[in-house]
Amino acid sequence: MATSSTTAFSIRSLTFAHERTVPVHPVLVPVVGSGLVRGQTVMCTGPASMSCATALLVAPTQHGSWAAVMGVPSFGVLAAADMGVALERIVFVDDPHRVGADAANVLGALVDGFDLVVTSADVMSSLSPSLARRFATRLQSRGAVCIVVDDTRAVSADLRLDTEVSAWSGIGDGHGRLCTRRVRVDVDGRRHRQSRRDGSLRHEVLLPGPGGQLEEIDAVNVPDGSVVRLRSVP
Amino acid sequence: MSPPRCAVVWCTDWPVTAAVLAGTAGRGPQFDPSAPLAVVHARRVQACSAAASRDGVRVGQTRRDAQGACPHLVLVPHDADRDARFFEPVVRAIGELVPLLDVETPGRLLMATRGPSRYVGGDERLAERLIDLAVGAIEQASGVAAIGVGIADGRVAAMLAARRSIATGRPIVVPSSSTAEFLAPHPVSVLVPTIGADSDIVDLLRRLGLETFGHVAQLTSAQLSDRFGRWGDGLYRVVTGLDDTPPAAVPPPDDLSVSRVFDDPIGQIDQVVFAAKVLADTIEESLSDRGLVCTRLVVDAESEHGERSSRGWVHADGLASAAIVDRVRWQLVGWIDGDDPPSAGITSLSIVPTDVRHDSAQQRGFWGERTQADDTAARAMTRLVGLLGPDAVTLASWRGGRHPHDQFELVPFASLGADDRRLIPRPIASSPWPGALPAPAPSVVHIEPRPIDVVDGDGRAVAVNGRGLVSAPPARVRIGRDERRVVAWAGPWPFEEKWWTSQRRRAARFQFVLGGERGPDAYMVWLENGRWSIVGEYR
Repeated sequence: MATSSTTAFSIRSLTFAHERTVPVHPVLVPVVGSGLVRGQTVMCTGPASMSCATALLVAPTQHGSWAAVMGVPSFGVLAAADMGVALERIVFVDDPHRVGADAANVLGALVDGFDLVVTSADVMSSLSPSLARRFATRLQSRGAVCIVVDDTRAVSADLRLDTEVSAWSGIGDGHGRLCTRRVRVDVDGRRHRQSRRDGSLRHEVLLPGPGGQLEEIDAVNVPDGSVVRLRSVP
Repeated sequence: MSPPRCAVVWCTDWPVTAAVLAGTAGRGPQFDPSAPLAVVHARRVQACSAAASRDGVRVGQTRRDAQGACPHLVLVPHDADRDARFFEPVVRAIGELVPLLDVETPGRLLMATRGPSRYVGGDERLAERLIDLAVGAIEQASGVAAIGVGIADGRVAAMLAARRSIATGRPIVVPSSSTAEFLAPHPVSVLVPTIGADSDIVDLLRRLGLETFGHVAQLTSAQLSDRFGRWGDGLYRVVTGLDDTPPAAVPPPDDLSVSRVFDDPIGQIDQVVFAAKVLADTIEESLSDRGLVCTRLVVDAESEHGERSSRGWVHADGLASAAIVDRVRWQLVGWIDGDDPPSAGITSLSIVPTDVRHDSAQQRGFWGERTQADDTAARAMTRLVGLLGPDAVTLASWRGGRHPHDQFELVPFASLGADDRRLIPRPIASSPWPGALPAPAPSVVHIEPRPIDVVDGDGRAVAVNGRGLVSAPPARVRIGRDERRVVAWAGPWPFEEKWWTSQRRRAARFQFVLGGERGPDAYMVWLENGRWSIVGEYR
């Protein structure tokens, strides 16, 4: 009896790596699965890379996780707020190289303190290979998720979200305004368990949708481009 | 419905008075009441004596600025326990006349006047008795203490009356009928010390041309809530003389009171405070589960010999766990060091929330956080500040504005918490800012706009005339060495701002969609002083 209860205890305390996740936006569930696996590096590339990275922050920050945005001074704060990111749990940190601080310590503090660390390809490629490796190891041991905006060969991403813009709606030739954008997200990555035989999975979403949020294509009535022309009369 | 009539006894700059009293009682260094004194907390002036304020020392100033203004300024370290301990005689003296009173903070007392006024024969008589009692209780420090007494309908009006009475030296009684007239001339800046408003918001009110309570009161409650969310509704209630307690004050649930009986009487304050921490956490947890926050509570302590100390504490913003623990400690310190200390150890402690209200989903001050993730993040940020410098770690605070880079301001983490700097969340369901482009906002906002060339089909530069019309539809855009085709465009949305200052700015805003290899790319482009530049990208 004693043995079996010990076994039961040890089984219960065991969690699989893919169960330790941070939540993702419901619209992205078909794309990346039920959550981002902790300890992994996610790379968002393509012409909608920044929106894609921002969209990944929505669900975790709303559920109480903190995120640090390091070395991305052009991060669109208003767009993030519109998308639903809980800004009170986002911290903006300068690139350590720019201030001349010790990058290893800064990365360590980020990984220790935050569930998500967003950074740019430029920052990651400025790290020495040994530092980048140590960073990846620390991510895994602390269970944080690193989101890299744009492509760099300095990082071997566990999950790649490659974006492609199909169309912008609402804007015409001198009239209307930018309204919604259809974005195709290709998922790829060496640790992506949903990978198909060709290694990738495609999905199309509205990023941003009409109010600036991430939305499913079917969920909203996409304007077909027939915009009322409103022009000033000279 | 007018709020209940209250009296406020307010000793401004109480920390300084407490320091002087501590000196005369031989419990600290002696200070000359007529010398310039300032109590400093977290490197900022928390309170200063009249002599110091004559030399230009101001509350909220940094220590260095204060010393610069007044080189012979005597600095006194802050001590919350000292403030509480020496306020106890005042509370006791007034408690003889008005048994039901609430301490808001050491230095400020609040009480309902209905009963006491009838007892002494009118509000004027009551106000005079109150000021006599308060002055009598701290006569050793009469040189520095500035005590004001105000009676009016509602807490805020009474507080303002007390504030004004310090200047005139006589208690002020505001008749029920003239509350609004009394409030109207007060400048909005007094919202900071009275209801703890954020100085940034007060600044915003002033920039909107709302200088006094009267100006704000001319707006409607709906307009204010529209602009400032729930805070605006509260503001409306304050400036119009309704109280700052929302009408939806709810009766407290029955099971909120918590108590602890100690089997062995406790002689050490620290141990009682430790027990209070557990009780306070229980209260906060059960209240926040119901979405409530406690605004008034009674702390009751009893000694082994049956002596009791019972006191009500109020705080309009709500008392979080740490604040409750502070109140318990202040009360015990005042009791044990007072004239009538308990003769035995403390055997029971109870905390009873008596007023609760719905938590207005107000974002807590940065240091009022609760979850473990918040604590971890706060520690990490402190560490990052140490590594990168104070300005390199920032958080976004809403400010409003018409451009994507204006709406949020990045506030250094290091400045939060000090001088009550808080993050302002974006108002929920606010109407769009006049002149702002509707969502979506650009996901990349360039700090330094990137210059570009925009040409029409014939290769001529595109311009916008004074009437906001483009010279020709833009056809191609040159970014650096790349030339890209314009697939779609919209605009111009002209704006002109700060035309009344030297920082005057005029520009025309456009949205361009440019053809690219991997699909269309959208940009926010400005034409300012004849120069085109990309200010944001929808990336």
